[in-house]
Amino acid sequence: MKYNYKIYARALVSALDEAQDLAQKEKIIKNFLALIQKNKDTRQLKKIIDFASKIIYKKEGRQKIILETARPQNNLKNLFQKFFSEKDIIEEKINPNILAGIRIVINDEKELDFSFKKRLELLN
Amino acid sequence: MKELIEALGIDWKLLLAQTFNFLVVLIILRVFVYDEILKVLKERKKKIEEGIIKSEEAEKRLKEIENLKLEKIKEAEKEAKELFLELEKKARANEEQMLLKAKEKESEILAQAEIISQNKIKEAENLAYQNLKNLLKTSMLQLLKLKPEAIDEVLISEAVESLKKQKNEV
Repeated sequence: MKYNYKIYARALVSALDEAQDLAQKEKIIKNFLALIQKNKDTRQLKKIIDFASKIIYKKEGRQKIILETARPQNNLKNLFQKFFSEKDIIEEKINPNILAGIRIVINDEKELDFSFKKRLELLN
Repeated sequence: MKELIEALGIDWKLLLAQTFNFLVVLIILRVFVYDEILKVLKERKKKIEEGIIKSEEAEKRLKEIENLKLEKIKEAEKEAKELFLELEKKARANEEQMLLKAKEKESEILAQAEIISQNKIKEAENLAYQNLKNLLKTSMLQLLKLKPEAIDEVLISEAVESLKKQKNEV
């Protein structure tokens, strides 16, 4: 039977919550991966992990912030860290499609688009 | 007296005979011809009078006909005048109506022309705006090719400023 990635993610988070220590958590993850493989749902793995992370971040009151730029930037994380909580996870991502500038994505929900691509789109 | 008559050569006997003859002729004429002549004259007179009366009547009739003719002419003239006035009135009404229609048409055409003109202006404005946008886009892309790092810096600074503003508001 095929399961939706959200169901897998919620099950994984629920199992990890019940784990007593790190070893138990590792065992749970191992078993979970084996189950995915058994069910032939490895294609959904990325979605499952992303959604599970989202749930965990939400539970812990953390945010996942992605800083997208067209090319590598020096000291970008430090520049933006002050606007977010220390608990928040800030990731840098290179996306040449934005041409220049920066695109800030918070929890895959909110977006602050200061990209050159967006400026060009506004001219259309 | 006798001498004078004799000097004049008058013969009493002859005179008497002639007088007698004359009287006889007169009586004969009176008895046989006079009445006939009188009758003929009377008839003639009557005919002439009748002729005159008829002529007068004819003249009167003629005058009446003439008057009637004049009257008819006047009437016809009056009718023609009325008809003319009526036609003139109708023509004026038609003219006014046509003028009104022409004015309406003119207004309609002007309104349409105004709309077309406005549309043309709008089109021209849009085209100019589009051209300007394209020019701006091209310039921006050229600038991006020349100094992408500078653009990165500007846009990242803008993002930082925006986040600062948001933080201050909170």
